[in-house]
Amino acid sequence: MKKNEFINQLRAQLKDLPAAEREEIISDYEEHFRHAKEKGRTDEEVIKRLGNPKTIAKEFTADYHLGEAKANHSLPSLTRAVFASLGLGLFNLILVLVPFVAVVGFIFSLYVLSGAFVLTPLVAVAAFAWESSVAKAIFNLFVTLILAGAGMMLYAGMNRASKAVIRWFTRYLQANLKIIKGEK
Amino acid sequence: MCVMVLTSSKDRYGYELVDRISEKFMIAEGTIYPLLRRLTKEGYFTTYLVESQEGPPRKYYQLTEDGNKYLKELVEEWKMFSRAVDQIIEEGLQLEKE
Repeated sequence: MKKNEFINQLRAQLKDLPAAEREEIISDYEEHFRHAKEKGRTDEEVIKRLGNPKTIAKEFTADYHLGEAKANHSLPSLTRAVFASLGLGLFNLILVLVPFVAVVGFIFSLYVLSGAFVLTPLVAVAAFAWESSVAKAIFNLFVTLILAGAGMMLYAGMNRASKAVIRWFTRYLQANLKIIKGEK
Repeated sequence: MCVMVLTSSKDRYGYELVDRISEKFMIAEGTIYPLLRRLTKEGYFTTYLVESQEGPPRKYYQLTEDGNKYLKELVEEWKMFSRAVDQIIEEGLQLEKE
């Protein structure tokens, strides 16, 4: 492999990153090649010592997505960070993906529950059609309105809780990546 | 930790750091740059470019105050860890002799 091939592969693998960041990284490696040449190393030798451009790009990509997740605490960016981290090691499947799916599933189910609560008064209204006793129907409506209130509160609580969970999971992911890489 | 120790006495440029680390450890040199970038993003390093007459421009890494604090923590942790490992090795080898 020649220097240009290495640089091109690296650039292609860094497609998730914004162009400015990508070019900054590329220029670091170009500088590396130039310094190595000064020291009398051949391109082949330098590339062998640098390692696989795919592996290098995966590290940059995982770091980038993690940085984004830390900055905006949103589920989409956390999801991207989780999937980028999967490329770094097989055991991340168990240590990251499984808890991630569990946590997201749990949060999602509570959202569904709060939605269902909010919709129950509609059922009570519809029940007027077949409920013979008006008093009973009004009682049902009353109960379901309380449920709807509880559902709205749950929803508001979930909004805050899920933000906290996303933040917490981002930190967990960061700690996990540090351990995997052993922080030289 | 090692890249931070190397920059604590004086600023160094990327290639120099990579060269020194790979003298001591068997690692793919290419993976040091992601580490340097991450530490820079986390505010432990600042970088600046210097044009040099002999050869290509150099991107220097300078340890920040935060970086210095973090380095001290890491070194303390490392000392504790390595003392513990040393002890276990010594005790283990003594038992072997008996």
